[in-house]
Amino acid sequence: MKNILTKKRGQLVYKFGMELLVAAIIFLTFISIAYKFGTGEAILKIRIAEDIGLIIEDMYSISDDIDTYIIYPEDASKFDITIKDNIVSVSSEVNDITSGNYKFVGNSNYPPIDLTIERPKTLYIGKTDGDIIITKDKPDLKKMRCDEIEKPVINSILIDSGIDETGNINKAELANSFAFYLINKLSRDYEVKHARNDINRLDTPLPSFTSILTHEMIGKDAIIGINIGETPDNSNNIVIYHSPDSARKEEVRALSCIILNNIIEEFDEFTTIAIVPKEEFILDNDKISMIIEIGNFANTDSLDLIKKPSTIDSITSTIHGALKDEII
Amino acid sequence: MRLYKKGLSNYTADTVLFYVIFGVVLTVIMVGFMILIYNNIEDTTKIPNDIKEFLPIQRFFSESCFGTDDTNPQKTINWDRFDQETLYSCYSIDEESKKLAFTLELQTPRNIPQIIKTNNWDENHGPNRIKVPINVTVHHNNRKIDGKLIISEQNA
Repeated sequence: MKNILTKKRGQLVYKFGMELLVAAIIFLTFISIAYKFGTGEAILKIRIAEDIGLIIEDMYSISDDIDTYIIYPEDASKFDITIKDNIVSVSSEVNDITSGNYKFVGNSNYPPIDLTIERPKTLYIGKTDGDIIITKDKPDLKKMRCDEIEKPVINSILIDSGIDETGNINKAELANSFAFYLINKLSRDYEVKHARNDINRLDTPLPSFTSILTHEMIGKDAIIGINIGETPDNSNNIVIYHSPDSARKEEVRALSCIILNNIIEEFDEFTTIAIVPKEEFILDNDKISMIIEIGNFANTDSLDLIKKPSTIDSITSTIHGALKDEII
Repeated sequence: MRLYKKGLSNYTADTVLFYVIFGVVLTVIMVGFMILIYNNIEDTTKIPNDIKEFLPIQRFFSESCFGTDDTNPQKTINWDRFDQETLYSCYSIDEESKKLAFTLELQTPRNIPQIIKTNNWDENHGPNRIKVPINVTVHHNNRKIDGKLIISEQNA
């Protein structure tokens, strides 16, 4: 076989050096790959890609917008996330040989997802306006899209608050404070009544009120329940529930949307706002009926906020304003 | 150690043959290494079958597929939308994809059963799994009728 290089000694040494360099590169590449697998980085990238792909597929299976965002719990801050042609790709560098990829099943009824997010400290995933949103910037929850509707005619309103299924007196008292403020404001424009007749009856269990509530609901145009939320985490949400079977669902959702948008605009402390269908006794299908669940009784920060008279005053003013506003 | 002799290159890595063999061997080792590792971690990152199958089935009942805006959309199907075209649009998948493939058969007492298949369904093979029929409410001509949805799967 013919030699490919000259036989001069210096050149051979130079050639050997080059080969040593190539060998070193190959060796370091193997070490690098082995390290990425050994430390779990490669597996983490695959898992993040799969997670995001599955969340997207899950969003496709939900008919409506979710009007809120999921905060992806895994730390993806070391990686770049690219979504294109229904493939989620998670990589730690350009041309990453150990990038994690997941191909999800697309849905042509949605706009195609084509984005790159570089090293997100937090990853927000949501669905709004019929589009899947994936972003590293905190979404502006004030931008909940409100449907335009004709203003519902409301003359009489029933307010309900007090003891709930937890039987917590302190919580009931706080809910009643909101109700008291709200009744005071609404009574300037509407005929308003508290459902449980005596707002201070806190020791009566909830089922005992059922017949009273049924009676009081007759003839009312709107029913508003006030609850204080309680979940064993650090959330501080405001959620409005409506009946899934309500004939006036669109009106209730539009009103709820305005109320929530106005509240979140004033109180940055609330982490999430949402409008959620729920079956509850007072959520009448033929009336403007909603339950407003405020804050988190189990979260000290939330409790400190919602106990303030200024907060109660402001939130109830917002509810009053949304109801009487001529333009919805 | 002597790597070469004066005036004669017997240095092993000095021939075209060496580079050819070296290139082939390196490629084989590299590919083998990657296959070995990927096989090794496949189980670690494997998505449970139940989840893989749950999400598409949920999607079939959404409004973007065959669902309606009924209050219980999990179990309602719009008869007029239950066709191949809708399935292709809401479950957009390549013909060659190894993702779960589905055949959906909608049965009602009043209609001939409708059978539709995802784009990646392989006609040359039968289903790997046939799920228990799901009781559904079918919206047809402004009426609600009881029906059954039979889902067969490939690549399960």
